[in-house]
This record gives sequence, C-alpha cells and structure tokens, in this order.
Amino acid sequence: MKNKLLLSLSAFAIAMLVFSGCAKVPQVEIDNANVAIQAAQAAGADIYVPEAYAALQDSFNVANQSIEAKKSKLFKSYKKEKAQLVNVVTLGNDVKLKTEARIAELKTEIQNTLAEVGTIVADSKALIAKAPRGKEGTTALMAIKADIATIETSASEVQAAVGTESFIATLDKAKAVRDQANSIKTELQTVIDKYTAKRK
Amino acid sequence: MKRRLKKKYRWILVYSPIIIFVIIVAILFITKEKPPVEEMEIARGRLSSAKVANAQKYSKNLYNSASAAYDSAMHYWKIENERFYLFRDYDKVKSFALKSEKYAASSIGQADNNSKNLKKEIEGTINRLQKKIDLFQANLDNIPQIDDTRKQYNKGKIYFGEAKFAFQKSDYIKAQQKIELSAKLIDKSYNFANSVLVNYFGNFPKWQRWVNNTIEQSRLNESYCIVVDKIARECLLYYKGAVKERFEIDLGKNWMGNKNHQGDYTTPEGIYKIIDKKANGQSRYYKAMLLNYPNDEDRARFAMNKKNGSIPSRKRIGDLIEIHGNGGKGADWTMGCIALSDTDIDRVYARCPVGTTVTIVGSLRPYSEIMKLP
Repeated sequence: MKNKLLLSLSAFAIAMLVFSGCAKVPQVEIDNANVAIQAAQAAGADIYVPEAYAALQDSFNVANQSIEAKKSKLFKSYKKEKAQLVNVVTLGNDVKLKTEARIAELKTEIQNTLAEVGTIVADSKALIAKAPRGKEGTTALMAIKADIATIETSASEVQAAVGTESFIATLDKAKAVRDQANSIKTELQTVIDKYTAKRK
Repeated sequence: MKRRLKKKYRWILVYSPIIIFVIIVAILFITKEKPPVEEMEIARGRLSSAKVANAQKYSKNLYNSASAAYDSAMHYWKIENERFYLFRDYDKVKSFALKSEKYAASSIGQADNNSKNLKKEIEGTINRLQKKIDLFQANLDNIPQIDDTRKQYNKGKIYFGEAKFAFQKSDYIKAQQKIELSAKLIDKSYNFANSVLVNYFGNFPKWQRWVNNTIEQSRLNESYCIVVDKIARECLLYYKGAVKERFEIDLGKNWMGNKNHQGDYTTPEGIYKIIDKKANGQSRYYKAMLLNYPNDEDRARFAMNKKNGSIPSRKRIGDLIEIHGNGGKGADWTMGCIALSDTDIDRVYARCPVGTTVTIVGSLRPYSEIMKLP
C-alpha cells in the first residue's frame, strides 16, 4: 500500500517535470542571431541602412518574445522560434551585405564628386588665365583666385574626412564643395563671357 | 462487511490527498495569471513604430525610457520563466511592458512635434541665410580688401550647402548642426562686409550734394557733365541737367573709398574737370580724358593724412587719373582710372570738351535701395 502511494506520487512528479521542461531553449540559435546582429551593427547598418537594421532588430525581438512565451507554457516546442532565429541570422547577413554595398556606393560617389571638384577647379584656373588683366600685369580677379584656393582646401578636408566620419556626411560635404566650386566657376565664366562679348 | 469498509476507507485515505492535490493544482492552473504575451507584443510593436517615427532622434529621452522599460520587461519575464510554473508572477513584467508602451506612444507624438518644430526652425534659418547670401552676392561680394571675410563667407556657404542636403533628406539633427555652423560664419562675414558698406555710405549726403551741384551747373550752363556711380559701375552723361546716356565702367581693384596715395588702386571721389584729351594713338588705352586729380581738396586731405601718420611719409599723392578706353571687361582692373569700352569712350570723348565737370561718387542711390534684392 505504502509502495503504491509512493509510486503514484513519483509518477505525478515525473509527469510534472516532463511536461514543464521537455524542450530546451535554442541558445545556439539565439547566440548566432546575436552575433549576426552585432556584425551588421559593426558594419554600420544602423547608419547606412537604418530601416533594414530596425527590421532585423524587430525580427530578433519577435523571436525572443516568442521564446519567452513558450517558456511560460507547460508544453513547449521551439521549432518555430528556431526557424525564426535562423531567419534572423540570414537577415543579419543580408543587412550586413547591404550596408557594405551602400558604403562602397557612397565611397565611389564621394570620390566621383571630389573628381568633379578637381575638374571644376582646373577649369576655373584655366578661366582665371583667360580673365581680364590689369595694368599691374596680374589678374584682376584675385578675390576669385582666393575663393578657388578655399575650394581646394575644403576638397582636401573632405578627402581627409573619408572614413573618419559617416560617409553620408562626407558625401554631403563633398557635394556642398562641388556646388560652391560650380558657383565660383559660373561667376568667372560670366565675367569672361561679358569680356569676350564686349571685345567682339 | 467490516473488511470491505476498512478497504474503502483505506482507499479514501490513500487517494484523497492525491485527488485534493490534483484539484488544488488544477485550480491553480485555471486561476493562474496568463503570461504577458499580449502586453509584450503591444510594447514591442509600439517600440518598433517609435523607431520608424525616428523617436530615437527627435524624442531621445522618451524613446530611451521606452526601450529600457521593454528590456526590463524581457529581463523579468526571463527571470519569472526560470521559476517553478506555479510560482511565476508576471505583474512586474506587465508593468514594465505597459510603461514601455506608454513611453513609446508618447515618444511618437513628441518626435512628430519636435521634428516639425525643428524643421520649421531650420527652414526659417535657411531662408534668412539665403537672403543674406543673395545680398552678399549682389552688393558685398566685390568689396575690396576683405579676403578673410570672403574666406569665412565661402566656408559658411559650404556648411549652408551641407545643411540643405541634410534638410532635403529630413535629417533635421544634422541639418541643425550644419546650419548653426553656417549661420555663425555667414552672419559674421555679412555683418562685417555690411558694416564696411554702411560706413562707406556715411558719405552719401556729401555725394548727393556734389551730384546735385554738378547737374544744376550742367542745366544752367547748358553743357555736358559726367557723373560716375562707383557702386553701380556706371558713367552717366548729362546734358543741360538731364541724363543722355549711361555707360558701363571698370574701376581700380580697390575701388571703394577715396584715393589716398599713388598705387593704392583706388578711383578718387570728388568734383573734377577734364584737363586734357588724348586721341587714339596718344593714349595706351585707345582714347583718354585726363582729370585734374589731385584737386585742392585731395591735396589737403593727403597732407592731413600724412601728418597724422595714416599715410607713410614716402608715399606720393599720384596723378594721371583718366577716363579711358579698353574697358568693358566686367572687372575692376585699372590703377584708379575709369575705363569704358572703346565704343562708349568714342561717344563720351566726342561730346565732352576740356573743362567738362566729372563728379565721381560712391553711389547715386542710398544704402536702403542698394541693399534690396532685385
């Protein structure tokens, strides 16, 4: 009789234990997902592809929540969560690749813009050579010459800033320098055109 | 019978604790509070929406509070899940989830307001600076000897461009940083250049008096006279007190202000007379009309400046200020003379004899008219 009682209680306790802990948390998948997210962030995903990075983080949060929800139950299986976490890893790698691609794109754009600035500066210098000269034998457009020197300095600053700050900010700076260079070139061109027209 | 009863009681004695235990457990299971799945789902969704609304940028504190509350909720959920099933208590988790949801919701509203206000503020500064840039370009850009100011202005314009690019991308935080840098440089350079111009226009009443006298004399004497407006880069030919023709001119590269000494590249200001005319072949600049610079007033001023040390003692007053040809270059290139295109000098040369009055002033229009955008 005593044995029967012990047997029943043991069976009940074992059943409770089995029901409440029959599946293990997918820790490896969680760690892998974490690594993938950290790699994406280290690549600069939060800066260069913020929407994709936010979606990645959200997917991870969804999986984490789902795991905790399962942990709250007596009968658990983490099959769905494992799949979700694997998806987070895939998504993380994809976001990292997208980030790298965006950075490469920005770098190219920065260099192209700086090359444009170089061409504009060279053109402006050529225009300066054509600019009206005064009695003193030097160009009358010393101020514009100084402006071109400022552009050259700013372009060097942009080149030096590549990699030290966000590539987006560097590209904006490069574009602003290009626009300023263009405005100086236009100013010069106007003077030259006026001069040429008057001489005809 | 007694034995059967004994067996029955034994059964009751053995199984009743188990049954009671099972009943208690069943009651506990039934009455047990549910895990905070729904609350956490709502909190996560709201946090995600807050991110989309850029709350981490425009409502940093509220967003960070929401994020921290969400992390705490997850943390306590994990802790509770580690406990035995029947002893789990999700109140703290739910409380943090609710906090997170509330903070996130508030951050969305605040981010919207803040970004709108910031946008408006930046837009206002962009418009204000654009007006200053346009005014600088139109009226202050060619003020001589302000190289450092121009440098500042150009740097300010580059920051201005950066601010506009960030603004176009709705990155108002970056735009604000850049517009502040730009405003600092543009305001400073504009204010300095403008103060130079304002100071220059202190002479305006004197210029008006000179011009009015000159025109009146032309009217009374029924003769030609010339008025030179340095800021407008215009030479006006008057006859009998009325404007007959206007010509574009080039000046000395330090055109602003009065001529102080030889080699300062400044075109003098005052009332002069044509004292000699050089036909084509006699002048290096096609045709020329020599002015009586320095006049008595110039000599007196030169002597005074030398005396007070504002002009070095070895400097000479200079001469040979002419209205000549070879102009129309659209730039200030002379050493202080007034250059007209050859076609234009032909017309002036033909009409103005020796003795014609030439009045050179800074401007015919007042400062308030000059500093208006077209």
